[in-house]
Amino acid sequence: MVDQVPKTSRGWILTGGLIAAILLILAKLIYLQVFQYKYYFQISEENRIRVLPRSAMRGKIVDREGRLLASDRPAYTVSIIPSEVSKIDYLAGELAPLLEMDEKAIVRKVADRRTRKYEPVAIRRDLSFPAVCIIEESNELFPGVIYQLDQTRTYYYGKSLCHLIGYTGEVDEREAKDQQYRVGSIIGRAGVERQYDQFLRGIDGIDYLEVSATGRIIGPLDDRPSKDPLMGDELALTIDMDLQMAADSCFGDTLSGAAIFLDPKTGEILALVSKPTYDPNLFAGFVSRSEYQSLAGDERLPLFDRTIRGTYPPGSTAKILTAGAALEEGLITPETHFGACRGGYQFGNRFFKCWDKRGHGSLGLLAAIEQSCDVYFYQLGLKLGLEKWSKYARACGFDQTTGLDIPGEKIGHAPDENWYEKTYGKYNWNKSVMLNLGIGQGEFLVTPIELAQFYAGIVNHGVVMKPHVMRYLRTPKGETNYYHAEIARGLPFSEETLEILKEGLYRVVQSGTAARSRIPEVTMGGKTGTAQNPHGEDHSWFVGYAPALDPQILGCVIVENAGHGSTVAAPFVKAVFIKFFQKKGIIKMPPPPTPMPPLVSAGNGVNGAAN
Amino acid sequence: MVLQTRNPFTSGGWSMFVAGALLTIISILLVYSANQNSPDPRLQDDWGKQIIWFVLAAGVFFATTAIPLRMHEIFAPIYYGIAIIMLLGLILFGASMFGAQRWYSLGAFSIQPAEIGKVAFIFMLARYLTYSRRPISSLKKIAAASAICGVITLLVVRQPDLGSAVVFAVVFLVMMFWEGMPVKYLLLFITPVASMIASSSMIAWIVFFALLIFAVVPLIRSSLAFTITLVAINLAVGAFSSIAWNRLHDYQQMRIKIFLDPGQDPLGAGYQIIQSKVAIGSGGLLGKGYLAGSQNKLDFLPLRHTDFIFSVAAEEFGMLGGVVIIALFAYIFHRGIRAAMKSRNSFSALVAIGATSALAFQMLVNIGMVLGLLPVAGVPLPFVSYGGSSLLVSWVFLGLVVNAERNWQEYS
Repeated sequence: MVDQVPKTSRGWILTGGLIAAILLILAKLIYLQVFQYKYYFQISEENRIRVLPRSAMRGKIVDREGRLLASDRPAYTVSIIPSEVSKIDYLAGELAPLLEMDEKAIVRKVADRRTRKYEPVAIRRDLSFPAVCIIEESNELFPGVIYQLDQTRTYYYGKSLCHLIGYTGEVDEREAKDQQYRVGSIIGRAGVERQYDQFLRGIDGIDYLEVSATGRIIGPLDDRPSKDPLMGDELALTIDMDLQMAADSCFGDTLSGAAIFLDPKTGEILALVSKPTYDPNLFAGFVSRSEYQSLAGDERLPLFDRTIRGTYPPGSTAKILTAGAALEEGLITPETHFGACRGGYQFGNRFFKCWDKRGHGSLGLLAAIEQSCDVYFYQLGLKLGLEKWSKYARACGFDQTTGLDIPGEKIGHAPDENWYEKTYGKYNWNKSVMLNLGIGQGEFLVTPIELAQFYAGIVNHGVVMKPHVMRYLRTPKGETNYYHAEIARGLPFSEETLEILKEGLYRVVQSGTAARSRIPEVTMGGKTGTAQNPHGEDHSWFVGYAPALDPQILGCVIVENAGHGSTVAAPFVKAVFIKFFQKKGIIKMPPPPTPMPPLVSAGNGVNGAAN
Repeated sequence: MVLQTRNPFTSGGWSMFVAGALLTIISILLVYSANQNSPDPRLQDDWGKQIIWFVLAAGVFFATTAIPLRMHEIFAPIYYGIAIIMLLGLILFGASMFGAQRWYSLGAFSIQPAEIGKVAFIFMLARYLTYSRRPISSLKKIAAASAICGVITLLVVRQPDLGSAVVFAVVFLVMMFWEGMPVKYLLLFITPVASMIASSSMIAWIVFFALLIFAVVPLIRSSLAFTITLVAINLAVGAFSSIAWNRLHDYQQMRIKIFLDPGQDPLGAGYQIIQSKVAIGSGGLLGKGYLAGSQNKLDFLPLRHTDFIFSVAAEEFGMLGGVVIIALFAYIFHRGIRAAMKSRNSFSALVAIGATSALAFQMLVNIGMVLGLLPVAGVPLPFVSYGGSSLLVSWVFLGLVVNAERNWQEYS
């Protein structure tokens, strides 16, 4: 029977128990202080150090002549520190009218913050000074609400550059995780603001403060000096605001479409317009839900960037592709005549109309380009065949993006036999599709930037440059990095072929479909297009360049649902070209109009000018 | 009975005094560090008060080593009675703090009757066990001893001060074990606690009873009556433990829950343990330096001059500081057990073992708690935690051990 333990053994049992317990404690102490030292040391550092970020000024954006397009200006930002607010619903109710915000939007912004609850969440940027004063005066009513002098992005040519420059927004928690950016910091959301965000954003400064457990700030940390913010780089665009404004004003407030003007030798974009537009300043401060919904729900799609995302049938502007391919394949010479145009072409049991129902008679290639005769190109298309056509369309870059330095570019559509078989089935289509493709209709779709790039290659000896809007980036220290012009590809056309095509394009403006848009002082080449469109009126296309022998500028304009290329799009290009050559001194400036006293109050100037 | 005025520093008294003094000096340094930035100016003077208590405690230590233990043997019932009266009085007049009545306020100082009760209880139990002529295996003797422990424990539980109550229970068991109570009777006290813990889960409870009936009962080979009693007590305790659980205060329930999972409420009750582990872990090998512990200085550590003072030591002096404190305690415990084993006097041996077990258990529970090994129990670290009663009683225990060791050759 295990009953009574001898007295000495009892002493040893107690000693053994004590030793075991002390060893256990020592083991845990060593585990915490040696093996988990780094882990706990880091926590203790995070405990005591509060990192207060100081936003960097975002770099400014200027045009090619140094005109300021976008910059940060000082503005008040109201923030809430989540850890200091106990009744967020009540607080949001009190704040909502003052901030001109929806109560729920405030609650959501605070609730979205799941970590770092002691860091302020920016609720409302760009608050008016009187509202800031009210918050300051009623400090007691709003615990955990602070305001800081911050920056707000301002766009000085708001509407006219909205798609190109884009806009900024706040980094959310998910992005902060993926990209190592601070929650609530400003990030480019669209356009060059997004493309060059890493250069524009600068580097935030940091203040290190020592805080107590209750959040009381003890003072700056001695062992970690503050870092001053570093302003972002200055971004100079290749855009010429004079041309941009000229192109923009052609459309007025009612027309939709896109206009691209570029230097075909370098790919520098001089003007880039997508209509209709919106005001990017709305996104810079804060955008109310209703305002955003009215923008997003607008059936004219103001948020949609037509220059790089709109896909349209190219219409007659694509005849240059058909002609180039046929010449290159040796199927025709400039003298080759096809069956005469009598206002249309009978193919099987279908009659394909020419745009001019009076007919063009029997034409050679150059005259067919000049008059944009559909019947000639129906026959040329048939002769070329789908396989060769699609081979050339793709080699000309119609199946890829142009490489423009604005995010979100779409690719048009250059179909081939596989595509037709897949889409319609093996026997449900025939080579009559070539009649449409040959004149730039049917399933052939291009974006305006693709078409502009193609024509730029035609007039630049077959060398296709990457279009770009960035001219240089300049660091705050003054180091300047220029964009190096890059060749995107070469066109599959020989110098002879290109010369023939350019001759045709020259004739279009001299005596052909665009003759009315001729400029006396400057020779010009170009091609009109009238793209049929199942949704309504034809789209009006014109691609032009000048001077014809040594092109310095190329314009590509599409005006949606506006009819013939010659009547709408071509005059737009002409107007911008006149501005361009006026600036060069080649065309004389008209005498300035006599100043008129303003008819309406000064504040209404912008609206007044539109009429 | 002769009043002995022998030099207290013979037979190793010196080294015990040095061990206690080192711990107390460390305490004064740590209390100063812990409260130097306290927003409460009264706390900033605590280190000074601790010095005064140290002076008093040193005097008490010398007195304790000088006064013959036999005198305490005689007066034990009186001590015990005074302690009971003070504990009863506390229910009527005590100062309330943290939802518990544990103090008598005397101006700037305060007295904790539970601390005095520990000394009185050890004397009383030692005297009873020495005087009673019944064998230690007699149920009557065990019942009477349990009553001595039970009365004072219940009064402490009533405060409520669960931490001190557990100290009484453990000191009782160790003294009974020392006195030679059969292991099977120890089981009567220990197994119900296991049953109570196991009853939180049905499966654990079934496993517990399987072990009890098929492993423990055959091992002790006891009578049928005892076996039935043991099983019945365990059944009853387990069955009613849920009722007992509901009778615990919310904060006591929370402490046990937090112990099981400190992360479940990092800004609430689990905060103490997490911040304590951060303080200790971030101290590393050599610590952040005296007065330079950020967890301490910036208020992240709770109750850091009392229950969590070991965390301050480990943060500012690192593992080195922690090991020094533990080593000083280990030395004192070693001497305490050696004194009990050497002593020819049953009363002296029991007092030495009681004093040592009280110090050791409190030290283990306190450090185990700040390291996150045990639930937050509100047990101070002897010698080191701020508090006059605790310091005085720690020194009394030290003095009793020295006294017992010095007079080991005296027969009862």
